[in-house]
Amino acid sequence: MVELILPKNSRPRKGKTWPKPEGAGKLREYRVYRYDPDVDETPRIDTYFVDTDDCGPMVLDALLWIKNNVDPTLTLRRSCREGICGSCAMNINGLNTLACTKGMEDSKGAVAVYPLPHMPVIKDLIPDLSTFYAQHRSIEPWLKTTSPTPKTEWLQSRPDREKLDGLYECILCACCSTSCPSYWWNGERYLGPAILLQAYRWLIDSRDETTEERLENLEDPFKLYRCHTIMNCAKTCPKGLNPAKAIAEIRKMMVERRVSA
Amino acid sequence: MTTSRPRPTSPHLSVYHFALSMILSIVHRITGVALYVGTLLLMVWIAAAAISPEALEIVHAIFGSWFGQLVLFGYTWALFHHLLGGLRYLLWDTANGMDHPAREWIIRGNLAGSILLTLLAWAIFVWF
Amino acid sequence: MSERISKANIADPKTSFGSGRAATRHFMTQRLTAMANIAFTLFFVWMVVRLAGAERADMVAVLANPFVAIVTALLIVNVAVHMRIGMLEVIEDYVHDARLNRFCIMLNTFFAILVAGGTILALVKIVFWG
Repeated sequence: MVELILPKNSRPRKGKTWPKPEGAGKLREYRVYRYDPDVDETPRIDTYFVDTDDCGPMVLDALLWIKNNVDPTLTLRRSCREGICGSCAMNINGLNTLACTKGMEDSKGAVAVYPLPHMPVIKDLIPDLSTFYAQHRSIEPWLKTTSPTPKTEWLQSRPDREKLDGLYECILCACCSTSCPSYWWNGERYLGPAILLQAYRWLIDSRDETTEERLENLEDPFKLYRCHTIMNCAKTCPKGLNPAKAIAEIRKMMVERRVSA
Repeated sequence: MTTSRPRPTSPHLSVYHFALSMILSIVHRITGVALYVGTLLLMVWIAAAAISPEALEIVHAIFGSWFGQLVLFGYTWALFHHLLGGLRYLLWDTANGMDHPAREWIIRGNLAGSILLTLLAWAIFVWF
Repeated sequence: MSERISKANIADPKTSFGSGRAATRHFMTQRLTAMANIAFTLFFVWMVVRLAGAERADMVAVLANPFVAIVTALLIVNVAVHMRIGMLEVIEDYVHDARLNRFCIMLNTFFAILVAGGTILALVKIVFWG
């Protein structure tokens, strides 16, 4: 049966409340999920106080401020700090988003920071994304052709190129997939919104010549049809994309394929 | 590798924001399951009519009791909610009305519509 | 479903977790029966309003009308098909144990047949024997 509540080893307990910084200006409370694989303890929620006068405006700034000034062991992924690498995806105040583009003034009160939901946690805010990447591999995210390779680029008309708008912008941060209850309950067999959006991106690419084969591989009760249009994906995407719509488009292609067959 | 312990699963239902869209999605499923069981009510009613006047009277007594009426009221709401939710999903299956803010209005309309239709149906046919 | 799921077969485009054709067929059937159910709901509301609390003689008179009987029979068959696929989705989502999964799917089919069959038998009795 599906596990709606967390297994014993995963239930977070109340952790340490770190002292308020001395001589600080305005303080903001942060409650951050911590898990240390090297210590035989369950995850905990630590409380920190961030001096917002001494810190940038984004949640990522606050987490790095904590790491620099309070607790250097706090572990997270980050790189570009401008919403294009997707590394700092995490659950902030109940919604998955990028810490680098999430302003802390967007919410009031304490800021709750968790790793992306229903994922194996490697350490603190770092989830294990290897299944997610394996799923991405499975949809063969590259141009597949049968005709001879042209001497110059594979050309594409403007209207055909526009079909990729709203799809190519995806940075594979996994915010949408890990917001999806269907992905929570069947994350190994259901491809999830991010990967299905990527699948659609290659299905409608005018230059790709393996649409039929791609559809054949996707047609599966679990890989595709676990989507129940819950819409968490579209609501949470930090890039404003709509994976649910891409999935609806794939299913339209599936039906057309069956009806015309 | 520093550890062989199984990795913990990060919190999900306990931390995720319950948006109306997510709530109505699970409500669509719950009303569907309720209607699934509720088909027995229709079968029992018609079967009782097929069997004898006495059997039908027993069914009337059960359906007419306060508990029966409560179940039927709930059934009415479940039916209308699942019906309107179904229309919403049929629309979304065409990849229309899925973007913000249209989808939020469709979701609110689903809930408001089901409550309104239920009250209207009972007001017209039962209460007055 | 009995084979172990590994990163290798997750990454393989050819891996399948069930019948894709059946899944698309279920998807289409679910939408077609849903559309039919919209019309059937109107009929159902009429029937309930017309017959709620009615005497047996009155119910038999209405249900014995061939049009009413046939539409009611079609309604229950359509509903049974729709709810069977709906519950199948629920089972596939939540029941992961292979044996329990098979058992639930069997029980689901049995329930759908029971409801449709029971209602149609009752209708046949009313139409032909009053």
